Amino acid sequence: MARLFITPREIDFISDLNKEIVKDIIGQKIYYYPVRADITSIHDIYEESIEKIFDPPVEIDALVDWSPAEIKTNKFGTDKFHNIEVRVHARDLSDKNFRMKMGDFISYGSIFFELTQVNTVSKIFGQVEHVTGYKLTGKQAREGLIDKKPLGPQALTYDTEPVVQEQFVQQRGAEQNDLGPTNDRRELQADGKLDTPLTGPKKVTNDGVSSSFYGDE
Amino acid sequence: MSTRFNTKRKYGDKSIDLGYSETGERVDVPSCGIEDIDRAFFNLFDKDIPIVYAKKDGEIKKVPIIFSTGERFAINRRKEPVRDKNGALIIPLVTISRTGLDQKADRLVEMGDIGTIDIKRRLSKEDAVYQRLINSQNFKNVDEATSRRENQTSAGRTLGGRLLEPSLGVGIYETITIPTPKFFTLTYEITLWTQYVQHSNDILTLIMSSYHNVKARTCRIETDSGYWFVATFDSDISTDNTFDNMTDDERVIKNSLKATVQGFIINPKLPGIPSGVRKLSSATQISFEIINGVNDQVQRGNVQDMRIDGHILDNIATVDDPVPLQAIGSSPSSQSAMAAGGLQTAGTSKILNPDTSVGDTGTSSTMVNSVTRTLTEDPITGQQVEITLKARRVSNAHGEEVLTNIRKTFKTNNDLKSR
Repeated sequence: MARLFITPREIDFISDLNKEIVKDIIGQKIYYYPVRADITSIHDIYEESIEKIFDPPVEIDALVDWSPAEIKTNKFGTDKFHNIEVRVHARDLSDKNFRMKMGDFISYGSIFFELTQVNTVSKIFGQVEHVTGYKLTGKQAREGLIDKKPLGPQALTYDTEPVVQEQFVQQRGAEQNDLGPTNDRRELQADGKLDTPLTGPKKVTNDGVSSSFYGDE
Repeated sequence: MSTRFNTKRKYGDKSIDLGYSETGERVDVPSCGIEDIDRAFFNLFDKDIPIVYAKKDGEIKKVPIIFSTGERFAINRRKEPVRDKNGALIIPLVTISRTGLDQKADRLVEMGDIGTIDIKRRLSKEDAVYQRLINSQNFKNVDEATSRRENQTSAGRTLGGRLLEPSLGVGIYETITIPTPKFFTLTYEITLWTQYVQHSNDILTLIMSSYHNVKARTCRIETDSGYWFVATFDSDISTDNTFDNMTDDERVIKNSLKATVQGFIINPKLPGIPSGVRKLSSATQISFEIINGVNDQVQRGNVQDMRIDGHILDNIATVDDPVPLQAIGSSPSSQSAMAAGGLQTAGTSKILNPDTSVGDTGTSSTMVNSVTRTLTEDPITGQQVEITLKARRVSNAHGEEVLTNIRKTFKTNNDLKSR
């Protein structure tokens, strides 16, 4: 599409629409664990580290393409292995001055994944400087590769109770919501092209009846 | 059920000590294992062989060397990146991967499992006290001496109270032993990635020219702790390029060569493995004997003496001293003394068998044909004579020596003065 018709305002509009879908409607999150290679003791020949040092985890809104575990059964028993594909919003990452790298780790639920690929999804209308987002491909990280306590909601497992998300709160470009600072930025609001939403971020709680969406507040 | 590490062995047990029993004092020597050889082999390419290439602007740049084992995060965030900002590998590049480990080595290299091996023998710190007690240097005024001066053996050369040459006699020695090393063979594959045939030629020429032995294609690799091994390169260098299929593939030239290294494990320092290095001190020898005479000059040989007794005084030898040499009829300790600065070994007349001791119920050793020259007085005429004796038999167990008189020479007073 010609640059004559896809102006920076259109790019901002597309970006804000996607943020709204990901952050204010879907509400899936991953937790990103960056490895601090500069302070981790890395073996000088084998280039590996048994004890990695991580930065504090970062909560990132994402679209998670969940696939069931691959179960291999052989004479040693079963081996259950998960793969994951996650899409994250490119502008959201650049707003937070955050960059994802292969070899870092993410968690979704109680499972940790090592990022094996970080790939650009597509360009916005062929404009090379604008990308829609990144596709992260992860392979399950076995115990020992990363030993962290998982964050966020978790499914029921054999030995743990499910961890249920208590509430979901929209961001809608507000600096703060009920959960704290959002670090969310909507370009059209920031540029004064759109007004701030009058009703603010809505929320859903886990009592089964209270939902801003149904006008229960 | 047991392993080498926890085999029980009590005092007096006649079975072979596998090196991890409770006897002896534990000491430390640097460990050596698979990782050390990997590192030494990596350093051969990373530090020893100057693998460089010239860029377009004439800048000489070192080719990155990668050991192909790294974790993703570590490879992607190297201080010297091997990928450009778009994530593509920057070549030329040399990758090394270990392709195999064989639990045996060449039979010419691998030694049999004899339990423990002695790697070092030296004078114990307690030996000085012991030498003072036995007054080995025949000092006149030693209060603590247990023997009278006239009963002592002839001392070494002294001048002004200083010993001019080392004299190794009866003493307290400490021996350091280690379990028999485990030998193995590692195989490596080295791949050279280049974009240009010229770069490929340069790197291959460099590697082929750097062999210590050109015909055998070997290089000496050395670990940080000083152990060294020989890396032997296969003659064949395989080439894998994309010239035939450049429609679909990029133009990349890959050359691969294989190498083998015969290594060993010494004193592995891993959780759960006790140290196998021991220091054993020899028992003090008490000998009741009358010694009168001087040995013949020790034979010097042409072959370096590899027996550990020949290296007891290595720590006081200088770089200019000769190395201990092995010869038929010479003792290693005498060679050690000569190598450490001795002009001539002036030992005792005891024939080449240092094991004569009280209470020794070990195997009886016999040594024949050693010649001893003794200066004495004829008991009948009272005249000074030089009698050359030949030892026919020496028995430790019975403490007896059988000597045969083979020559008697009368000496004048002038002869005696000249000696």
